[in-house]
Order: sequence, then structure tokens, then C-alpha cells
Amino acid sequence: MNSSSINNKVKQIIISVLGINEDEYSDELAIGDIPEWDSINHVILIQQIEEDFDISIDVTDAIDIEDVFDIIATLKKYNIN
Amino acid sequence: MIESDLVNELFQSTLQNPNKLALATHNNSLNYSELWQSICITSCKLDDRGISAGDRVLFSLDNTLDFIILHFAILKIGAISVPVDTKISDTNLDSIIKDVSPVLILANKNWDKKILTNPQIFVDIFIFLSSYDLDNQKKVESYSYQYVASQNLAVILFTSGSTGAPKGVMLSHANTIQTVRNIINFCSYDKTCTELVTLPLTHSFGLGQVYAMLFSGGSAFLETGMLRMKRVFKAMDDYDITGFPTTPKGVDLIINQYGQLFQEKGNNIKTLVVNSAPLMPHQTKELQKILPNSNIYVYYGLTEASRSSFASLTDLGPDMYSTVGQAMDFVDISIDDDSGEICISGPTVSIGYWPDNLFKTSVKKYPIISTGDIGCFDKDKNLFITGRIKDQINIGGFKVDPFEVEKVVKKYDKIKDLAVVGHSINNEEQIFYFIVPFTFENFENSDFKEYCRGKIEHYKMPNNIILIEKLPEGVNGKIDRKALKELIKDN
Repeated sequence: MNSSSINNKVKQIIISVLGINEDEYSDELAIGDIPEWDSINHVILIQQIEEDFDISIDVTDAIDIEDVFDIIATLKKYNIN
Repeated sequence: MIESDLVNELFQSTLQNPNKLALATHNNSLNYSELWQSICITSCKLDDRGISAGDRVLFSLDNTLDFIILHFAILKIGAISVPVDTKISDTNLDSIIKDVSPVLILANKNWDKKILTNPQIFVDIFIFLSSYDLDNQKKVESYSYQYVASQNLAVILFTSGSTGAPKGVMLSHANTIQTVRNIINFCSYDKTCTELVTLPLTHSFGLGQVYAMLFSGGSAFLETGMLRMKRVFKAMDDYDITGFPTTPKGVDLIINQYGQLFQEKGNNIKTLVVNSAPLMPHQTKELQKILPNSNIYVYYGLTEASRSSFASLTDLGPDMYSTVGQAMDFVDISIDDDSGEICISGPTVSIGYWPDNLFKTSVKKYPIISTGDIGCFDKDKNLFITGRIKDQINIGGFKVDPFEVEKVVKKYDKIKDLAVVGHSINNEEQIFYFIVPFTFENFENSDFKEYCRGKIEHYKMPNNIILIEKLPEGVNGKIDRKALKELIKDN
């Protein structure tokens, strides 16, 4: 999977979990920026990322995730690149 | 009788602990002396803008040091603080602005598009707070503090109300001080305490916890929501956090997601106050397992009558995990004989809704509020909340508490979940049972009726049964009874 398709897959997961429109998404989107990205949806988002990429993110890594960039960086850390 | 005001309460803490940490965030901190200085400078800026006693100042900020500075600066000149949530809808914001007619609105610069009514009174909050004036510095140095009358209005807090326009709850200095003193006494807060407050400061729960820290000489670490958890755990490492007030949703996050880290880093957490929605006994049990050295508190109250009763569930033990405790000092909690509705009266109770929708007063001359909740006391005067009065069903004059019925019949072994609601057909209210069976094919209405016979009164019997796959839930996770009534209409 190349980086472009990973980015696109992450984008689709975020849009789907948060229930937002494509035009509300940006690569700079971060937790708390929009009401939909709240603490509960954040947990669901991490779980969905784990499921769709077939990985298990350690809780100490999960708390580092605060925006789209962090999700991509975490995936790289788990050898998804 | 309270003879003080909120600013004086903070001033007394400042005099006693000038160099002690008052507030912190992930990137900033202030000791009491610095906090006081910042409040004085900001109140001079408000004064320069012509804000005076009785004026309403509306502002919107996340959980930051600036929130507390601005709030106390508004109070210090005798004006009325109207904090609103940063994520408020445009409709509700417009309704609030029309309602309170603020003389100044301070918020993020993006709000210039949100403010439709009186946009000319809007000022970018960051420009306002960062402006520096040497004259103001001089004024602060020659400052003398004048008390605000304790009965004066301090804050208007808007309740989120699921239906209709938000209502502005009027809270005086005296209301709030009595409430905060009750919190401090019950939770034994003192200057050794540091609470990590992620709750919104625009709500009485979050703001009350910060008051409690500041007025007891403790410290508050502010963070906006349980979102950036790395900051939350870093604060636990850096600030020796002793308290973590939260909601049942926050408890779920601790239990299901962050339990391991709370166990590792939350060793010093002694106080866990939980409110905003009922804490379920299984949540209390799980939370206590994760943080065995913590004292779990719950309280009962509304914005209109905050912290009316308090309980330490840890002290009371598992058999009492459903209680919300006993009435606080000076607070009268009574239960209406006919309806079972809980009424609260006392010095902590708001006088009413802005501007002139005043509550009735009790014989002791305190406001009295009918809460809309149904409850009962045990022999020790511990209060238990059993339902909402609007959910009460009236079957030919017999009052039926749906929660009480659910509790009894839920024990039937073929039921996975259940909700009982009332609905009027031809002006006559009838009782409807929405049942989620373990398996649809094994559920027989007649068997269930037979089970109920003798366990509940005849007028509560399940004559209308609707089998359903899942009960609808509202945003707060509670059963959406309104949606169930809609289903009856559709059928």
C-alpha cells in the first residue's frame, strides 16, 4: 500500500466515523477542531483504524494521536507504509 | 448569611498563598499573586471600555487561564459574567444575545460571522486580553478592593435544554459561595489539592470545581475535555494531581480505554467527583477497581440548585451505589406527596431565569425549585433518583413510575432490555412495554403477562407489548423515550 492510498484510506475512515462531509475534512484536522471529533468518537476512530489496518495500537501510542498527521505517523510506526 | 463575594473569596486565598500555584494548563501557569494581578489588569481594561456594575459581558473560551482571569475581572467590577460554550450553535447564541443584551461580547475572531444581533459589540478576545496599557498597570498598583453585595447577580449560566431555547440561570455571589463552601467541606478540599478539570467551565460542575480549588487554596490544572489525553497524563506526572472530576461518559473512557494509564499515573488521585448524569453501580465498581485509593463522590443538583446533595460512594459501599446522598448544609430537599417530585430550597438555589422568571419562595424566604425528577429517601435520608416526572404515566388517575415497573419486570429471564412509556390514545393514557427479547421466537406475550401478574398492580399490566431489536438512545446514552412514543404513533 503506498502513502497516497494510506492517506486516502485514513481520510475515508475519519469521514465515516465522524459522520462528516468530505469538504469538512482536511489533512490538518485535529481532535476537538470540530464537535464531531470528540473524546468518544476519538476512541471509536482509533478502534476503526486498528480494525481496518489489522493492527493493535498500544495505549501509550494511542494517546499521542491528536490529528491526521499523528494517525499517519502511528501507522508508519506499525509498519503500514 | 454569606457576607462575601466571589472575588473576595479569591482575594483571601491570594493573601494567604501568594506564591502558591493557582492555575495551570499544558503550556502556562499562574500563582495566586500573578492570577490576581492579571484579573486586576483585565478589570481595568473592562473599566476603560465603560463596563460597569450590572452590565452583562458575554464571552466564550475553552478551558484556559484567560477564562478564569476574564470571569473574575468581570465580577470584580460588579458586572455579570455570561460564559458560553465555544461550540454553541448559531441559533442558541443568537437567542442568548437577544435574551441578555450584553454590552460586550468577547470571543474568538471567527465569531464575527456568528453574531447576528448587535455585531458592533463584538471584540476579538485575544486582542482584548493581550493589549497592554501602562496606565492600567499603575491603576492596579494603587488598587483597593471594594466588595460587591453578596446578593448581587454574579453569573448567568445557560442550560443546554434538549428542547426549546436555552434558559439563563441567575446565580448570585451568595448562591455560589454557599455551594462552593459545601463542596469544600464535603470533599475535604484544602491547599494540598490539585484538581485536573477537563469539564467545560461554562457549566456549573466544571466552574464549581475550579472555584472549590481556588477558594480552598488548592490548584487547578485546566484542559479542554478528555481529548488530548497525552496532556492529561503529563499533568498527572508534573502536578501531583489529587482530583479528577468527570462525567459518567468520562468514567466509561477511563474504564474502557485509559484504565491502565490511570492505574499507573493516577496513584495520587484521592477525589473523583462524578456528575451530569447518573453513575451506574457497575461503573462505580469498575472505577473503584482501577483507582482503589480514590474516594468516589456523586452529587445531585441542577444548574439552578447545584450540589444539593452529596455522597461518598466509597464510604457508603456497594449496597448504596445508587444513592446521590444526603442534603448539603442549609439545603432543604423535599418530595411532593402526590407526584413524588423532588423540590429543593435554600441559599444555594438560584432566584430564577433571566431576566424575571423568578422561582417561588419557601417559608424560609429562599427560592424553591421543582426539579422535574422523582425520588425517594431511605431511613437515613439518603436520596435516590427514580425517574423524571415527564416520564410518569397517569393511568386513569393512578400515577405510574415507569422506572419502578421496569425494575420489577426486567427480572423476567427472556428479556434483554425493556422500556415502559405512556402514550395517550383518544385522550386516555395507556402503558406500553417496549421489549428487547433475547430471542424473538421464544418470547410469548401471554407468558410474560403471567409472570407480571401479582408482581405489579393491575393498571400497570403489559396490555400493549411491542417487541423491538434495540431501544433507541439519546446523545447522553439514556433511553430515548420520545422516540419510543413516536414509534407508537407510527404503529
